[in-house]
Amino acid sequence: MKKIALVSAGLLALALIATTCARQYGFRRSYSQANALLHDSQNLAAKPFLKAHLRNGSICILRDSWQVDTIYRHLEGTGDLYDFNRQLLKQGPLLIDLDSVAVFETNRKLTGSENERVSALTILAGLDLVLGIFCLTNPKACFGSCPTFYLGSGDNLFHSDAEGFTNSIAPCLEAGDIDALDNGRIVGGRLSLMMKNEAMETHVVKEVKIYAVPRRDGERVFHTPGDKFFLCRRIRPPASARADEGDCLEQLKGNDKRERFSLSDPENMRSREEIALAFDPSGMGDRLGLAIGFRQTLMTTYLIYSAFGYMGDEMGGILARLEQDGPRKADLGGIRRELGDIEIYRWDHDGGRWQKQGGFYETGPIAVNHQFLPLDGPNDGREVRIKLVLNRGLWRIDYLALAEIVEQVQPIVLATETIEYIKTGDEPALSSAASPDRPVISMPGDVRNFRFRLPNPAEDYELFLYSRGYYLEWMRSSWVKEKDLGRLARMLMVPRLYLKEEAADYKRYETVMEREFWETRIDNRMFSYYEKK
Amino acid sequence: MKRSRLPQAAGLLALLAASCATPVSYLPEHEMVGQETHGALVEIEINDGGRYAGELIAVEDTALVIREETEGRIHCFRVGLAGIKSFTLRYANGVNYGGLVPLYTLATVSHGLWLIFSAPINFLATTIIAVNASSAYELNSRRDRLSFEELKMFARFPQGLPRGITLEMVK
Repeated sequence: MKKIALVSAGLLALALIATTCARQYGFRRSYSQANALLHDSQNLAAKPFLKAHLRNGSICILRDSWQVDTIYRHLEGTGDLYDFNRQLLKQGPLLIDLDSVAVFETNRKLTGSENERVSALTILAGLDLVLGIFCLTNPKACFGSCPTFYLGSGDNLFHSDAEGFTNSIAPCLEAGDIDALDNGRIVGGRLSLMMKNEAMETHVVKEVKIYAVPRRDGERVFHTPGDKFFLCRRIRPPASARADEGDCLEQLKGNDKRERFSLSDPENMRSREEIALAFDPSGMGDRLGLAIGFRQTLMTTYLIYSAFGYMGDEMGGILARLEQDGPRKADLGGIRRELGDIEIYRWDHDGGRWQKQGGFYETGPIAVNHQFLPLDGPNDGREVRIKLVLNRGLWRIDYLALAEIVEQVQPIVLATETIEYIKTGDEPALSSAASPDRPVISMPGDVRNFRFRLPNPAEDYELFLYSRGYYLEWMRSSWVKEKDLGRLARMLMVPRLYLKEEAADYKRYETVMEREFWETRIDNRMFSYYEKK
Repeated sequence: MKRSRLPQAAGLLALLAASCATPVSYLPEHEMVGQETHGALVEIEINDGGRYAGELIAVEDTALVIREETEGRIHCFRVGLAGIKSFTLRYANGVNYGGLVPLYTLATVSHGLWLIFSAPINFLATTIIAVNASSAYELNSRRDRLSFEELKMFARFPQGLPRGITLEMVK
């Protein structure tokens, strides 16, 4: 992208410089003989202004109606006559003796280069306007998201990303977060993880570590929502998958970014749906688990930004009170509880009922989370039937797979070896990665490379990112206008009612934003509260 | 985060562009160049490093006749052709786009993080346009290979100083 921008800038500059080099003065012609003047001007559709420089220093400027009479040897027309100091002598019809004229001069209108400049500025303004409108309607595409991590863009052949501590929007909500990097084999034993602040936010990153678990061919390591790690093999896609829309097996059978999602209920944002799956466990071991790749739609982003909007100019004060009021932190989870997990149920063939196995929940629409849930009960060879109960319009599920658990494992924790501040090479004064008790403070546009060394370069590892910290969202002026503490109170105190009231507003924007999100495939695209209006 | 120096740089360049385009009272706008009665503004650099600037009155066989006005006093004089190192001619006042440099650059604030790319592009493009426009109606003896003979077209008296008119009489 940077290269494209630089090349574009270069071409633009060259084009503009090229226009500066082409200086012409052919717009002006002078003639000492009337015949030459007549010869040059007789075929012109419109006669140019004619200047007649008289031998006595006067000048006669005639408009386009001038005539040269070569028989009576005079020049006639309507115009102005000036003396040698350019004082106006006469205006109106003029008759000039040709013999008194020393030089005739004609000038073409100078408009070309000015038009080019105006055109260039108009095009530039148009492009700026398009980009400005795009950014206003898709602020997260331009103003980014919470800390994003990119794996090995320079050192490895593959690429992955993760979102760090998405829920931690204030110091008191500081949290650690583990994300599977879904990596391929790392070559050379060195790992580079790029952290970007692509948002209008201040990121306070207190810890970045890599959890590594050795694996062999055909093996994968998954982690659970409770941060346990399981070495697995014989990973098998579902034999069938059905949801309200019918067969959805194609979307759910592979880790291929083809995700199954639904749109929200227009009557209530808190509305459930089910997905039914069946797996063939034949040939698999005794202990099984369910692997899932998932992320959220834009629903939670909408809700978070709505909350900031409702706070308006009191956002700072409210968050400060939140800092002082630790015990009430749990109240913020009301919406989260109402939206609920992706609940996992397994059919109990003997009991004839669904048994809940657990659930998945990770905030954020950018990075796909890869998680795992061990299933209760042994593999008895009968079909494994799984039911997912989830909030309608909240989740995008990339894949579901049954996996045989080999064993629970403990990851090797890799501390950061070095941190490179990409912008200038020097860490800002208040942010020292070299000092472990001091957090890395990442400001908008900051890019850092965290480097790690793997224990054994010859071995293949499944990698997980652990990040801990919080971030402070910068207030947007447009949010201040949307202040509504009453709605904020409803959101926090009666979230179930709020989700019902807000459903229609969200619905209006969901379709457009979801389509745009996917058609453009800009992963960090989201929208903000003020777009609702 | 380090503060960008772009706005200051934009302001500086806008001022520079604006100063280049300081309009000369007797020069026409570019649309009116066919009706102008005065000579073009000529800026001369002579071999010893000295500089002269003023209205080009006439081009003679051995000298240029220049009319200079300083602090309300008009002074008409000759500069020998042999001593002239180079000259620049301005025959119309350019359009001043200097103000657009900071305007276009600052407008990229609405582009979010994309301003990393769009601000330099806007800054560069508008600066080039502004500088280009400020000198759009200029000719240079070296760059444009303009001879003294061709320079006559841009003098108040392309035929040369009229007989009977002395330098003191030219106002």
